[in-house]
Amino acid sequence: MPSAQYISPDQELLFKTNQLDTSQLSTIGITSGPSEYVKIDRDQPSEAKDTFYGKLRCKITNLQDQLNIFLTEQMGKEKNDKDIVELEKKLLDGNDDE
Amino acid sequence: MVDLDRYLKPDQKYYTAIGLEGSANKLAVGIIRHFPGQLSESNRAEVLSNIRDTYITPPGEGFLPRDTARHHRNWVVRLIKRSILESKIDIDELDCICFTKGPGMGAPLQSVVIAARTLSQLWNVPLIGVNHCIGHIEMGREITGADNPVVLYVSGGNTQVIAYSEQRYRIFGETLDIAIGNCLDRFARTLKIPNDPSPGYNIEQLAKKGKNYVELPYTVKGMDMSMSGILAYIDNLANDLFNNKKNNKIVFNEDGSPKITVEDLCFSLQETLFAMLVEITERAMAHVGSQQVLIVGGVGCNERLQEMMKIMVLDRKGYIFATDERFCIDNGIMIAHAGLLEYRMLGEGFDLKDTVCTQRFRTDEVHVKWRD
Repeated sequence: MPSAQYISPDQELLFKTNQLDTSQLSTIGITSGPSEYVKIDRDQPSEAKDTFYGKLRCKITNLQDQLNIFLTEQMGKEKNDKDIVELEKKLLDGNDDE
Repeated sequence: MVDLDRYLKPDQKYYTAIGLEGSANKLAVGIIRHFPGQLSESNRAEVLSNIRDTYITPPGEGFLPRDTARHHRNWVVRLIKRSILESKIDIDELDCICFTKGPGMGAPLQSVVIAARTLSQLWNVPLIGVNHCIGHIEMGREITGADNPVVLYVSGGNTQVIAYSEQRYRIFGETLDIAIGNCLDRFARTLKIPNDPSPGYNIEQLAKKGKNYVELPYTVKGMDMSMSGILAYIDNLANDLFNNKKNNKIVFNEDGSPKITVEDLCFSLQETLFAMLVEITERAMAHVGSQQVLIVGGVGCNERLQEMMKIMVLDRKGYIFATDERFCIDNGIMIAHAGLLEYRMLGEGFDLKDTVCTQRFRTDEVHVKWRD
């Protein structure tokens, strides 16, 4: 089942999905939504079917959310809020002008 | 003559490739077939499937990398499935999976390359990274039959005048700042006109109704051109028109009535920009001694540009070539075609570690092994 391992000088963490109740999961992630500029969203992921792969998709979406929330918190510990928003914006929207 | 079949297997009747394109706001999948031998009048590539979905933003807005990448991530599987169904191929017929390596926007490129890498590992099919500009050029040559033209590549992200020499597509002239499509799209945002089907198309329709030419800066610099100044100038005129700045005598008459309309501005912008393109293309034709011009890229769909270029080319007793929106606008089939040509010369795909994508990828960086 999908999992991820985070290793840093200070800590080691394992993110798991095998213990989750799949009926509570979906393919719509908390952290993979559109930006505030999108008014009508036609690009949502399709809903998961009740099959092995459907449940796998939901677990991966959940795992991605876990990782994104954790990493954002990590960034938060190093800098204050304003800088985080700037850095996140730069990561997501890229240095496309450079 | 370059041998394109040095890696043809003994019982192989044809080559098949799938191409994935997503460097800007269009996500496209194409499946192409090549038959052994040189590509020629009697041996044309066969388009088995060519589908596309465009990420369109509301009027007045451009597309952000993060939302575009999300669109590509969530549509890529749907498009690939549809494409394979439409082409009626078997997965084991695929010789290679081609993807846009660059140039383009970072996050969208990345979304598509991840899909390509996944499929490659899932189906055990080699991967080929393709330069987006080369894709346009090779597909343009294949569809129109132009064999050695001066290529004008004009789109939202690129504006280049290219000619082939000694296994490279050399850039003879280009934009010094923004691409022409970018200039048109940003003006469309100022005007807040719809982005559906594309801002450039809607500007073209408005321009057809323009009657007065408004003089704009004309900025050709040798073999190159610059457009950011023209954009700033015309944005100013449009804003003065919308905000009723009656002291702007270019926009308003003495009695305060508007002298010009939005249609006039669109018309003037097109005439100026396209005249500049015609000039630098003509300069390249003279320099290279070529009699053929091929227009590729999204802005190449514009009928006024085609008309103006045709006047210049016919004046020089040359030939002009252009494609329709299926091949002008970013598509997957051009990536499949250029990728398959490269694959036929290499006999194998890229190592996984070499399948990174890059926002900057010059047209002349590619060694064009399939031409001599």
